Amino acid sequence: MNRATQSLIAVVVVLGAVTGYAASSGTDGAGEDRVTAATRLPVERTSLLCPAPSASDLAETSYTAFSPRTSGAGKTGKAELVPVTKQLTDAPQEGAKGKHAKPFLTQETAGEAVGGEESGGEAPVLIGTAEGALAPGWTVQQTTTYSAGSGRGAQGTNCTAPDTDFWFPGTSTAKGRSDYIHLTNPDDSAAVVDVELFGPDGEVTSPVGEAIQVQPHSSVPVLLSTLADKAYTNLTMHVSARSGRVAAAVQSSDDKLGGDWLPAAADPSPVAVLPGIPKDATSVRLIAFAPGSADADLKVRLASPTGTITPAGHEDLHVKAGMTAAVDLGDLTKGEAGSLLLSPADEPVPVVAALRVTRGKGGAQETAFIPATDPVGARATVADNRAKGSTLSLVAPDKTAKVKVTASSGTEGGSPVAKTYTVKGGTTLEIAHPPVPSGLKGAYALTVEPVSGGEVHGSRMLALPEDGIPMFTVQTLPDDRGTVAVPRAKRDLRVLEK
Amino acid sequence: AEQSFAWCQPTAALIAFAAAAGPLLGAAGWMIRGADGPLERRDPVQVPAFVAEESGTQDQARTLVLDSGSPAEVSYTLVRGSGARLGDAELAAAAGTDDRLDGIVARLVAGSGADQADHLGGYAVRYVLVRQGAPRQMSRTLDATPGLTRLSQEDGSALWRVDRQVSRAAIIPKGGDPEPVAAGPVELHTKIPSGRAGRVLRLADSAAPGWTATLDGRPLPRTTLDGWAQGFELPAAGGRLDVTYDAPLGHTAWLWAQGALAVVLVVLALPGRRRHVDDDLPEEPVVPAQAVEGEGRRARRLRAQSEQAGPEAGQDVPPPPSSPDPHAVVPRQQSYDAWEAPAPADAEYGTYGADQPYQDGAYPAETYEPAPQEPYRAQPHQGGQYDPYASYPSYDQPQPPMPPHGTDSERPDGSRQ
Repeated sequence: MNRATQSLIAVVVVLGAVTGYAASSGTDGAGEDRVTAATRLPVERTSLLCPAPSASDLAETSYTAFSPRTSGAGKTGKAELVPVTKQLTDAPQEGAKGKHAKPFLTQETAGEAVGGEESGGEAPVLIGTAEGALAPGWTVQQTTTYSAGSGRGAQGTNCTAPDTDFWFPGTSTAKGRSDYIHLTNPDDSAAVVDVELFGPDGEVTSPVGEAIQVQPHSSVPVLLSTLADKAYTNLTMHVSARSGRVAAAVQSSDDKLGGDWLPAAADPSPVAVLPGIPKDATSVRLIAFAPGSADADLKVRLASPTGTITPAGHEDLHVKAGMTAAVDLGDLTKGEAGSLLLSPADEPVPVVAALRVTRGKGGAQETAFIPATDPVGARATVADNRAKGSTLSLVAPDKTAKVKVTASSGTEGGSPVAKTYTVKGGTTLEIAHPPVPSGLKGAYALTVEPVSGGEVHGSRMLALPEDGIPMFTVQTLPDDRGTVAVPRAKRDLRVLEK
Repeated sequence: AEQSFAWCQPTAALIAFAAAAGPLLGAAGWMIRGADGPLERRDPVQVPAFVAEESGTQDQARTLVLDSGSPAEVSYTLVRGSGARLGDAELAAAAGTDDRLDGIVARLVAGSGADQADHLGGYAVRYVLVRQGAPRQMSRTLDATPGLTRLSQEDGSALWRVDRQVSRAAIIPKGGDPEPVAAGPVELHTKIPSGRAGRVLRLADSAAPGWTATLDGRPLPRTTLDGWAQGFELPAAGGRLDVTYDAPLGHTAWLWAQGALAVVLVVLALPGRRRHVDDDLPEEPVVPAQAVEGEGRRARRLRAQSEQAGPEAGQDVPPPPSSPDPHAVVPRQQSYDAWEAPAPADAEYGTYGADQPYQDGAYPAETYEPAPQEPYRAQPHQGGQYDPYASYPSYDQPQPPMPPHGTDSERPDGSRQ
């Protein structure tokens, strides 16, 4: 082998080595495909806003607040509900901050329920903040009962967190019905909110619905019939904050059928679960709306305690894009508790949906609303359960699931009790007698935590019969957002490149 | 010889082809794609125009730019002014990671609910920009974050403003709202009013020993605020405030050393006089004495032939068809004395021939010599007289070994003819 060959080989080897090294070490970025899931950490602060309960002098309102213990959350914390003293106007006011208002309710220890009561029509709007150990999963329930007047009956709502986008299927501007949208702004700057109403033939909003100003730390109720051009029995309302953030809840009152709070439905999704239709429901109406540009064909199924059935005559529902579809399902449940499952018949099109449920007959009817609900997720809590009258409904749309239900200590006494239930796939489990704290005094909270299996959706019915009227209210149990997925953040100048 | 013929030629052809094809392909590529890579022209403004404008004010506010490809990861960067500048990447790499800021950004994007706007304000962040392609949930979380106001949405990226007084430098009185202080990109030179005792000056920059502050020439005691930010304790009296940053001595020295090394590198790369050519010359006279006489004349004769014959010489001496031309031109400028010098090459060649015995047998001395002489002769000429082409000789040197191979194989043919 002569020198030329040797040097040629040497050159080739050296070039190969250099190229190989460059190829393997050059772009470090392409090689890093660490599929690390975001870690879940407890939230640090929770904000909840309770709307003004009722203008009726007969109203009795009770508040129950509870925050379950969360591992990983701080040791100390504080939660308080502060009344908003001035309200019900959209004009700017003096001293808008309400800084030194005395808290209506204060909570300092996680795992203990606290309660408070108000009576009369002057009960204020409450702005609640929980920090530290109390922030994850803080839940406040506001329950109002009054026995006469429009909307008489039990009206309950979970105080809601401020957000920027809400859907309310099931609202109405019909004669005899007065629906108010309560917009509450917890922040230091004014919020501007747009309200849109969609009837059976598309949008029906009057210009009044545009750019509603909500002053800092205040609440504005708006009567829906002032926003629509005429009376509609079934409407879907869309509330979006143009700037700032608000909490929104609809108070629906009917002259004859009582009333309840209608909470915002779960975000538009091709599949909707409406859990916990009471077994003695005399009338059930489904209201659905497709916010996108495509029509939705929905399969309607009922998850009964024994299995999933298709309600006769209501197999499917066609929802035209941008128009509200409503269907009366009658006494759908036939004496068995159930949950309504909506799934796409062919193309998955996102929809929002809610049920209006009526119990009782003749002059003794009461209504409540069950909106489409997100799954329980990691944990969900519903406050204000009484020694009697609470019914927990859990539905597992797909796979069988095991859940742990914990009853907290009572507002005035009692020690926690826990019990585990199994929800069979495709069925609704009605827990007519959920765990009650031993030695209970006052109200308590129920916490649902899935142990294993598939997704579970749930709702709780609180029945408070009075004067022969089956007064009741239904609250759903979506994930309490006690923990959030915290992504890994890293400084990277390459974000500027795009 | 046969062996090398077998693969040398194709290789040479291949190399020649590659040498010819490379530039052609490159040229074609340029014509098709344009000749702008690998560097590209970019807009230096990477944030919305009014943000860039506002960031140049005396508040020296920053913009947090966020992007995320997956819910599990978020990338961010803090920019001042219109965007990143040349060298920012190196500075960021040198600064290392900031776990505190990482955490704030992560919790902001997650929607932990805490007072993230306040934390961002501490870093003098006035705007939060989310790049196009980030998950929609991120926008919604930021919308629902207290203290952030959505401003606009253009070309897919979204912008929020932090609703609080934001400035790079601020005087924080005891139990009061911070008052902004005019600041430059790095240093502060301004007048501050008098205030109550116990106030501190806060810079939204990491505490570092390089920061020094003086008030009317008197140095101020330094503190660290919020666990990371540089602060200075201010007296009640106001006056002329000067804050400067002096890089550590070691760093300055290193920069100077780098500069000096760069100068040395430039000096080394300068084209200089090739002194070592002179070194070659003395060697040559020593060796030639033995060989010059006999062989030099033949070489002269052959050279004369080739000069006269010009192209015809190719027939007689096929091997160096290319060499006669260049060499024929060069020698004329050269004196005979210098021309004699090549003799040593012959000697070298002789030794080379000895290495390969087979040549000795077939070796017709007469025809054999001229060829090597010609390439070798080039050395002195070019070495001595073509100084300007300093690089040329070095290119030639490898050549001589090659022609022998060529001549070896071809020479016999030539001699037979």
